[in-house]
This record gives sequence, C-alpha cells and structure tokens, in this order.
Amino acid sequence: MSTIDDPLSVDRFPALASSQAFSIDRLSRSRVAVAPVLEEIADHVCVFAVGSYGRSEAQPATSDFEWLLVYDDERVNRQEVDLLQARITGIFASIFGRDRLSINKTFGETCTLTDLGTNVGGDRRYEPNAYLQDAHPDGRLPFASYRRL
Amino acid sequence: MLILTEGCPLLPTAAYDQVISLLAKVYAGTSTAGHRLLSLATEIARYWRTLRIDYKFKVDELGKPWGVRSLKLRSARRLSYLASAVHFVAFGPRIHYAGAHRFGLLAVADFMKTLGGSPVARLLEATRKLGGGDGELERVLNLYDSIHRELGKPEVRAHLDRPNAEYRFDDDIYELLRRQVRDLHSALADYVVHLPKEPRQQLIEMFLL
Repeated sequence: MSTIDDPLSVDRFPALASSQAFSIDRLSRSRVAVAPVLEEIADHVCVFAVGSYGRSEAQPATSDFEWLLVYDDERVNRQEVDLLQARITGIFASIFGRDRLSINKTFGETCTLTDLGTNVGGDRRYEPNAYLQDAHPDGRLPFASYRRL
Repeated sequence: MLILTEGCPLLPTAAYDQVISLLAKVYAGTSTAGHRLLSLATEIARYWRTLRIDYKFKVDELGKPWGVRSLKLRSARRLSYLASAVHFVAFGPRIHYAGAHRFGLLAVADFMKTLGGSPVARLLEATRKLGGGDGELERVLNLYDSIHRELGKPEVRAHLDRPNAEYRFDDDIYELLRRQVRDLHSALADYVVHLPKEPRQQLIEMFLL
C-alpha cells in the first residue's frame, strides 16, 4: 500500500488525487442506484463507465458521464435493452446532472456480445470511436440517434 | 478497447465475467494470439492510432472545435496509451512454448480485468514492478497533474475552443498548455528510455514494431 510520502503515489499529485476521489464517489453512488434496476437481468447485462469516469479522472465542473451498456443478445432482446437504457439514463441524470450526460454526444451506447466478439481485425469491427458519426455497420443506429427519432 | 483500457464496470455482474471471458477467448484462444498476446497489444496500439487520426478527421472534415480536443489527446489519451502498454509489458501473460502451446484463458481474463481504470495507477504499479524510471515518472505526473488541473476549469475550456487555429500561437492560455503537453510528450519518451533494458526492449517490440 503506498502512502503520501511515497514518491510513486497518486496522492502526491493533488489534481489527479482529487479527480480520482470524485470519480470513485460518483461511481459508488451510481452503483447503488443502478443495482436494483439491473437486478433481474444482471446476469446478461453489464454497464461500463468509460471516458474520464472510466479512467478515474473525472472533474466536477467539466466531465461528462459516458457509459456503454453491453448485453447478451441471445438472452435479452433489443426492446428490453432500450427500456433499461432509458431507466438508467434517468438515474445517471439524477446523479451527474442531465447536462453532464453524454446523450447525443459520444457515448451512452449499447453493444451486443456478438458485436464484441466478432470481426476482430476486420473492416467492420465494432469500436465506438470508429463509427460514432455513422450508423452501425449492420445498419443499426447509434443509441444517441434513437433518442433523436 | 474502450471497455478494456478506459472502462470500469459499474457492477461486477456475471455479465461482466462473460464479457471478459469472451474477449479472452477471442484474443488468446487460437494460434494467432502470439506468445506475448501480441494480438491484443496490437489492438491497443491500433486504438490509440485511431484516436489520433480521428482527431484530424473531426477537426478538418467535421469542423469540430480543436483546442480542448487536441490537448486532451496529447495528455490524457497519450498517457493512457503508454500506461496500457507499460502495464502490458509488466503484467501481461506469456506462453513459454517449451512448456505450453496455449494460454490459460482464466489467466488472460484475470489480466484483462486489470487493464482498465486509472491509467496513473497502472503506470505507478507497472513502474514499481519493472524497477526503473521512477524519477522520470514523477516528472511525467507533475506535468500531467498541472495540465489536468487547467483542463478541469470551465473558463479555460470555453476559452480554448474559441481561438482560430491559425492564430493559436498568439493565444497565451493555449500556448502555455501546448508547451506543457509538448513537455509531457517528451517526459513520457524520457520515462520509456529510462526503463530497464528488457522491458524497454519488449515495449518497443510489442507496441512500436
């Protein structure tokens, strides 16, 4: 366990240490709030914090909360996922503030296990950054686009 | 790669284990894995290169604001890439062909679970394990801390997305941060140069060549 006297400890770097503490606090609150909503299908759905919160580098005044919901498309259908996404979006809005969510921005996406495990190295590889401005290679629109329909 | 290297599961559900097991099987389950899991190392490098060139596309062709985007790319995302690479060299699974021809997928999954979260924490842990570059890392983190603090100020961010790129060198706020990210780049390279020879060699082989 490192201490503040350890030259190789994040505690020696105040802005980074503060961001780490802030990120952990907000993610802990999200965990508690989202757990009951996920309960019924927690075995088939996983929510990832990504971006600055995923890196534990979020800052109160400037960081958006970005997330990615991965689901087992053999056990959960698209409508269930859309409903779930809508519910957790409301929860995240209450914790981070609606103007700090990545709705209509970069993330707030869903992704299937099939997408994650196929076409690795191919030209249709699912990678959020690679197709953010366009429809999914299979024709499905990014989640943010659904919200605008 | 986003999930693995910059993601954090909100809840360690069975689905999380399923995601990681799937990725372990995809990258380590066949003969294309490489004895140092080069298939995954290559994806990490490709992800970073994609982010870099995606910046050009977003600014040049989509006309997105460039100031904050550029500085974040040259600080947080660059440091995150190096943290993943050094962490991979320090803790990544290996096959020693004399004794085995395949990876243990559980060990690969366990490793993948350590790839995400705080890049600073990963860089610190890897540096401890590799036993070198401490002084250089301290310089890296001092610079990064300063850049991170400035980019956390709303007024700085708002300012940075205003200047015309043509006149960017005349902008004091941008110029100060540009110098810092340039120094950070140099300090990161210096850190790599001061790693012990064997991990440095591996870093070059796996993430550069």
